Amino acid sequence: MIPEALFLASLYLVLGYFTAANLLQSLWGALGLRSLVLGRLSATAVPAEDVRRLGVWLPVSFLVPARADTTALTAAVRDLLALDYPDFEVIVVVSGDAPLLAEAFGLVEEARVYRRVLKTAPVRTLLRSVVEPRLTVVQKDDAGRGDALNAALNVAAFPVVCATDSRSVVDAAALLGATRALAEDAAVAAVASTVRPANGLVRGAGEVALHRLPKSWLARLQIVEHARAAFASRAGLTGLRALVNVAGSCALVRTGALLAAGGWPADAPLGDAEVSLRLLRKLASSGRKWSVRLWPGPLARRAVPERWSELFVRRARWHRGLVQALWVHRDLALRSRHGALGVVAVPYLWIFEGLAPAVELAGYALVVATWATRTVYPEYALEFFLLVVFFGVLVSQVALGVETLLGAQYQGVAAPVVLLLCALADFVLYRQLLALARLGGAAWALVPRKRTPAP
Amino acid sequence: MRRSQSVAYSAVVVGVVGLQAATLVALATTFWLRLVGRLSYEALSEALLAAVAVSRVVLVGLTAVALVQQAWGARAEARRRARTSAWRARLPAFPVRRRLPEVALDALLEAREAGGDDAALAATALVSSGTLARLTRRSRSRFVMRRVDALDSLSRARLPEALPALLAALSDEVPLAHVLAQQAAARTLAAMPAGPARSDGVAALLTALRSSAAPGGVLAETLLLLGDAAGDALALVLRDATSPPALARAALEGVGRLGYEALAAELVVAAGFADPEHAAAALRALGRLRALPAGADAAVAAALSSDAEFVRVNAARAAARLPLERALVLLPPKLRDAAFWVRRAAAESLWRLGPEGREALARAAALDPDRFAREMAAQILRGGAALSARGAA
Repeated sequence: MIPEALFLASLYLVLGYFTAANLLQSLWGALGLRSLVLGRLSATAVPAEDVRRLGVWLPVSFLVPARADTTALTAAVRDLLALDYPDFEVIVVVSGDAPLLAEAFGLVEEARVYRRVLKTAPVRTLLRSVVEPRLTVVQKDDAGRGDALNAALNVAAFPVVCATDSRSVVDAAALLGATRALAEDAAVAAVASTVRPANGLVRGAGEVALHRLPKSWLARLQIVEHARAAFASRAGLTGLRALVNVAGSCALVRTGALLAAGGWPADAPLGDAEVSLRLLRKLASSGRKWSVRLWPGPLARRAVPERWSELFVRRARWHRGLVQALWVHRDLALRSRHGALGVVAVPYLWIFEGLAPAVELAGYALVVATWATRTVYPEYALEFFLLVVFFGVLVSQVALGVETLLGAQYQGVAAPVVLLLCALADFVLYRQLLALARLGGAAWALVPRKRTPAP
Repeated sequence: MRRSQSVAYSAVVVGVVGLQAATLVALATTFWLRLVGRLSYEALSEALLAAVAVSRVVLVGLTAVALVQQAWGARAEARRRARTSAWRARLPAFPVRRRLPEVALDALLEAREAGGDDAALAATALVSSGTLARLTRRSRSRFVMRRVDALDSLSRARLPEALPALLAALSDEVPLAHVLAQQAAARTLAAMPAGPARSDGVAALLTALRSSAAPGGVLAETLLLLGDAAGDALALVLRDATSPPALARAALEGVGRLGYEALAAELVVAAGFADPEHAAAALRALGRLRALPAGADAAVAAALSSDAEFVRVNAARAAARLPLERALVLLPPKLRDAAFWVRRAAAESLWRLGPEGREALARAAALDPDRFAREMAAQILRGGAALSARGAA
C-alpha cells in the first residue's frame, strides 16, 4: 500500500501544481483578453494621420547593441533609419571597430558631450554619420549586452527608448500608436508588447510587405509558444502592473524611468528580466501613480532560432536570466508594499516559471515510471498525461485565436491548419525538450556571478 | 477580424476557459476526496476519464471554430470589402430603408471620412435610414463593447445630430467609453459650422472635461481634435481661473500645438505660475509659437532662473523665439547651467537663432571659462546639421 499512497500523493502534488498553473493562466487569459480587445479599440479610435498631425507621439531612441559589425547589422540599421516615424535616433553600440557601418553611413569621430549617468566599460570612440544625422555609433570594449545597452542609454537624447537588435523588424505604425499611449498619460512608464517571430516576413522599405508562415517547423512551433505566452501571462500580468518582461525587446520605456532604475545589469547574461524587475520595483516604491501598458500586438517582430541547438541555448539563457533576476530581487516576494508585483507576480514567477521545468519533468518521469513498473493503476498515468496534453493544447488553440484576433494573418490557405497542427505537436516533444533546456538554465543560474547592487 | 467576430471569439474563449477551470476544480476535489479515503479508485478513474473526455470534446469544438474562422476569415473580409465598395457606388441613390446591413454602414462611414460631396450624401443616408438613431441607442447599451462600437461609428460619422447622444455618453463610467465619447464629441464639433449650436456643444464638452479623470495627454488630444472650434475652447479654459490644473495644462499644450498666437498673452501669464508643471507647459507652448508677445521676455528670463530643471529647459527652448538681441543676452549664460539638459537646450536655441547665435556658440566654445559650456557649445556647433534636419522634419 505504501507505493500506492506515495504514488497518489505525488500525483496529487503534480495535479495540484498543474491545476493551479492552468487556473492562473486561465485567469490571466480572461483578464488579458478584455484588455487586449479594448486596447485595440482604443489604439484605432484616432486615425494614425490624426495622431501625426496633432503631434500625439514622442520621439524614440533605438538602442542597438551588437557584438560585431556585420552586414546584417548594417542592413538592420538601414531598415531602422527607413522607418516611417516622425522623429527618432538610432544608437548602435559595437564591441570593437565598425568598418562596415563606417563605410555604409560615412561615420566620423565626434567628441560628444553626454551624461554618463550609468557606469559602463570605457567608450573608445563615438561616431556620427555625415549622411544620416539620426545615427550614432558607439565603439567600446565588449562587456556584455547590458553594458552596451547602458552605454547607449547614456547617449540617448529622446524621452523614450526601445532596445532592439539586428534580428528585429520594428513596426512603425505600432510604434506611433504605442508612443501615443506614453504621450497621452505621463503615468505610463512603459509600453510592452507581444512577441511575434519575424521568420518568413518579406520586408519592404521600412515596413513589412508580406507576412508568410516560416518554412522551418521549429520557427512555426515558436509562433504557437509566443502566442500562448502572450495570452496566458503577459496580458493579464500587465493589467496587474506585474509584467516582468517590460524592458525586453519590443518594448518602449521612458528614458528617465530606466535611468532612475539603474539601467541594465552589466554582468547578467540576459538582463531583461532583471532590468524589468528593477524598473517595476523603483516605480512601485516611488509613491507616484504609474502603470505599464501592453500594446495589443507586436511593436517589433524578432527572428527566432531555426536550429534546435540555438533554441536550446537561448531558452537556457532566458531561464537563467529569469532565475537570477528572481534571486537578486527575492526580497520582493510576498511584500504587500510592492503591490501586485510582490504579492502576485514574483511568487507566481518563482512557482510557475522558475520551478516549472523541474515539476513538469518530474511529472513526466512519474508517469513513465508508473507505466513501466505497473505497480499501481497505470491507466491513471495515461489519463493524466492525456489531460495535461489536452489542456495545454486548449490554451494554445485559444491563444492562436487571439493572435488572429489581433491581426496576425499569415499568407496562404494552409497557414491556419499548419498552426493548429503545431499547437498539437507542441506537446509531443517540443515542450519536453524545452523544459530540459530551461532546467539546464536553472542549474546554470546556480553558477555565481558578480552581483550588481540594485539601485 | 471584425469587431462582431472578435466579440464572438471572446465569448468562445471565456466559455472554454470557464469549462477548463470547472473541470480542473472538479478534478482537484475528486483527488482530495480520494486522498482522505472517501472515494474509491474506480470513482477517481471515472472522474479522470470524464475530465479527459470533456477536454477532448472542447478541443475538437475549438479546433473546428478556429479552422472555420481562419479558413473563411480572409475570404469573408475580401467579400465584405467588395460589398462595401458596391454600397459606396450606390451612394447618389442610396436606398432609404430600415436596418441597413453592416457593410452599408461601413460604406457610409467611409464616405463621411473621405469628405466631399459623398460625405453630405452619406450624412443624409445615415439619418434617413434610421442608422443614426440605432447607433445613438447602442451608445446607451448596457454592454460595454456595444457602446464602444457605437461611439466609434459615431466618431467616424461626425454628425451634428449625434452630438446630444455623445454629450450624454461623456458620463460613461467605463474609461475607454468615456474617452471615446470625448473624442467623438470633439470630432463632431470640429465638423460643425461656427454658430450657437457649436458654441453650446463646446461649452457642454468643456463642462464634461472639467470633471474628467482622463490623463492630461488625453484631454489635450480631445481639445486638439476640436479643429476650428479649438480656439474658442482653449480661450474658455485659459481665461477661466477655476479651470482644473490638468485641463488648463492641456489647453496650454493645445495653444502651442495649434500655434494660436491670439492666446499668446495667456501663455505669458501662465509661464509665471508658481506651479512648475504649469509654467513648463506654458513655456513649451511659447516655444512653439512663431513670435512671442510683449512681456514674454521677462517671463522667459524669470523662468530661466527657476529651481526646477524642466522649467529652465523649456525656458531655454522658448528663448529661441525671443527678439535676437534679447536671446543673445539670456542664452549664453545658460550654457554654464548645472543641468546637462538646460545647457543643451540653450546651445540648441543659440544654433536656431542663425548666424549670430552660432557666432555666440563659437565664442563660448573657444573662450568660455566653464569647461562644460565650452564642450556643449562645440558639440552643438558640430552636430547642428542634425538639428536642422530635425527642425525641417
